[in-house]
Amino acid sequence: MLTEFTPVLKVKKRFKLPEETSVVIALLILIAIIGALRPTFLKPVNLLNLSASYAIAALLAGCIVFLLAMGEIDLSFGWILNLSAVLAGLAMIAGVPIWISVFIGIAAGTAMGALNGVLTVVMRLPLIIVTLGTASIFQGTSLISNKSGSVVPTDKEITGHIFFRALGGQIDSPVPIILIFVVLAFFVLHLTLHKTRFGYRILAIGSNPEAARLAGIPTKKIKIQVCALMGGVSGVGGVLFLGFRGAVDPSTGGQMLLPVVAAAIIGGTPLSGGAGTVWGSLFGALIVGVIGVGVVFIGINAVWGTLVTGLVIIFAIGVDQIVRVRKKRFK
Amino acid sequence: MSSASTHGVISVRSLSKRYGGVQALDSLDLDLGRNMVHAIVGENGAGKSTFMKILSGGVIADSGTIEIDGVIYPQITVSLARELGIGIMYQELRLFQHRDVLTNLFPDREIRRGMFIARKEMEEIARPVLQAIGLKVDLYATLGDLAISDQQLIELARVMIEKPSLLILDEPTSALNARESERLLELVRQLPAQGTTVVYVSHRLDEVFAVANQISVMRNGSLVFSRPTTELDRLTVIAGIVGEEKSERISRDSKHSNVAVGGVNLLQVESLKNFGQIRDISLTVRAGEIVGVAGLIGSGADELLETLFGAKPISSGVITLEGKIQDSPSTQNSVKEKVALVPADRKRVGLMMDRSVEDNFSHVAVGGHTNGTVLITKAGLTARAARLVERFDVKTENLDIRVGNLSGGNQQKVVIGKWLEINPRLVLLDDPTRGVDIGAKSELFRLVREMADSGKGVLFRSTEIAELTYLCDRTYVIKNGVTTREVSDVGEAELIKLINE
Repeated sequence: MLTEFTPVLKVKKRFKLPEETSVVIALLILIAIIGALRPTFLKPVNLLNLSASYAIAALLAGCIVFLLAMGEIDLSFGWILNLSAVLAGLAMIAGVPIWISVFIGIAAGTAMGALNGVLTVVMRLPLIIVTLGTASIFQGTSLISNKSGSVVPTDKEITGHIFFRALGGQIDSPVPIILIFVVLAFFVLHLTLHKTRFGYRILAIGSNPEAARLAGIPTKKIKIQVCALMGGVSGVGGVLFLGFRGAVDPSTGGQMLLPVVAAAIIGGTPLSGGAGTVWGSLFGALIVGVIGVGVVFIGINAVWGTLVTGLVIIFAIGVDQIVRVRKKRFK
Repeated sequence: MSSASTHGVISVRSLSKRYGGVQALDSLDLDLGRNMVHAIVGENGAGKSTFMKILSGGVIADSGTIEIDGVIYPQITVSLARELGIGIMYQELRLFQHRDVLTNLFPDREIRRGMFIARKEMEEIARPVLQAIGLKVDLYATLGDLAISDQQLIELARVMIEKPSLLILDEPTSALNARESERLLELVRQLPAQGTTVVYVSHRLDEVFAVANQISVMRNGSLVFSRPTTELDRLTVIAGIVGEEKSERISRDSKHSNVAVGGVNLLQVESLKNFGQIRDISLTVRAGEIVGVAGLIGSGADELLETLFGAKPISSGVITLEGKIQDSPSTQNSVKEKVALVPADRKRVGLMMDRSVEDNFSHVAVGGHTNGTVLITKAGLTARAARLVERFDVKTENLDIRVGNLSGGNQQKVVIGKWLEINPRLVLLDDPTRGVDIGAKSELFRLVREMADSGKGVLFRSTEIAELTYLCDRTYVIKNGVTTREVSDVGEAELIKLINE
């Protein structure tokens, strides 16, 4: 035959399980183990309360994935959360309308994140170094603002506002409002990282910064934007905390670094940059929560929760690393 | 050179670029007509890659102009290059290892529908391009999991998708096998008819003659000549690449004759294979000998020295050091066995560019500078660094200067100097003269000669064939990961022919 033959280079797309599969399975196993030992743990109300109390950590984990994907890490977000909540609370006490106070808190968080970003770009230092310093600046500013005490809006007009009633669980809803909000936020974060050019640029910078520059990506601008996003989400976390608990302590946010970063890593986001999973971090946060609450349910001293979380992080990172090294060796 | 301010021409005038102490481009003048394939050839360090990077916006020139289709540009940025339709396929791949194939094909050029990336539409554009290149690959596979040859073809596909009017290919076949290379050359030949001007940079002369309409030879950052391929033959091109004056500048007496007859086999390698390009390499190095390794990029020669040093794992084969079989080659083991490696990429692995000369000298051999105490003393370090600077004639104002500020040749002396402190019996020199100017080169050669004369074995890889023929007692030719020949006393042209055939 003389007809020209063009080979059809069709490659079968291999069926791949979503990368979050393993973390979901781990979560289910963990819940099953604790449920087998203490069946009351499985009551929906308990699971929902657990989820609600880890919802803010989960939200921050979903956002720190952006930074890890870019090959950076922010150590200051806990104190951004604190200072944002303090500023919003003080504004409310001073008589500023609630929604405007909420906006002030979020805007302050965004500004603090943007400051981190500008400093890391201008000083050409890794974000981890910059935020080591700014974390203390934000904490110090908070201590000065709240005069080393808790910020508690007590006025009936404030606490009776829909903002506090909704987040504080005083409105009838089968699922805590804060949980609904965080899950919606995860849809937005997921779409942003994995379906928009902004997200593609973040992953490109994390994978190969020089190649990203040569592809024409404005790497400095993106870095600042991602830092501002992290600050803004921390600000959201701050006002959610204020609404959820009704008060901000001087120590609020100081203990968030471990559970948040652990959630992202357990969820499957490597520290090396170039990859990340937003949904994975949600399940990672739930694992951290189940461990923290689960040890109490089983009757172990709560102190053990932190130790177990540490072991799980090492285990998760270890497995990930072994898989990667083997893949490379046997390519 | 004709004055060419006509349309349809790319004219480069007095283009210069200096990196530290190295003049990478020295007032280059060149005209490239549209809708042709132009080959640019020259030794490493001739300035080809720098020129390509300036044309595509990756690097900004110090001076000179580039005229494209009648418009003169003092400099080209990444975004301007994109507007002008200039696409480049980099020699060192600029890909995103963690991302999937499809994402890599549209770096920051993703197709969007509304806010979101439209992967289906990207797939439809990518498929025919991959088909034309002959690349069979899952668009959703992670790039880092693919073979290096597939990655190179993806880099080509990436730039083809942009449909550039000027396509720059920098050593595009370095990781490809014969069949893949042939297909690529066929594709390149068709491009001028489709309105694409191609600049093709390669060491492989057979490819150059197969594909180019015009051949330009560069040496020391300037143009030697630029002529239609039909007026040229291989020997003329090789003569242009090598140059006349160099043979005089590199003194012939660096070649020596006092190999201890029947000297001990310091290094013996049998049937070495690794996880990369090395398939079957056997060689020996005797004490007091300088042994050369010649091979094209991607032939395995460029991985050999790092592999022998233990920096890359081997999959089979035997490495013997003075009769002792090395069961578990590793970098630590190599240092213990007094094997030294001067790595090809000194900026990345050879030196701490931000640290002082003194700090760099104290990097390998701790001990010997402790002044009789357990603690490392500043005075001990300084004394040793001063001694080494003097011995190797490193041109530096003082010991506290950043190594990154020294010229390439002096940087290399620091690397060699610090390794000689462990008093190695075998020295592996991996392309040590890259980015080193000609004056410093002859000093390096003298150093290498001294090492061999003091009874050390030297294994010397160079991408500059002339150095091998001048310096080495014997040279192994490596092709496709296999040692094909062992030669001594051959000329440069002959050796270039051997590695290319």
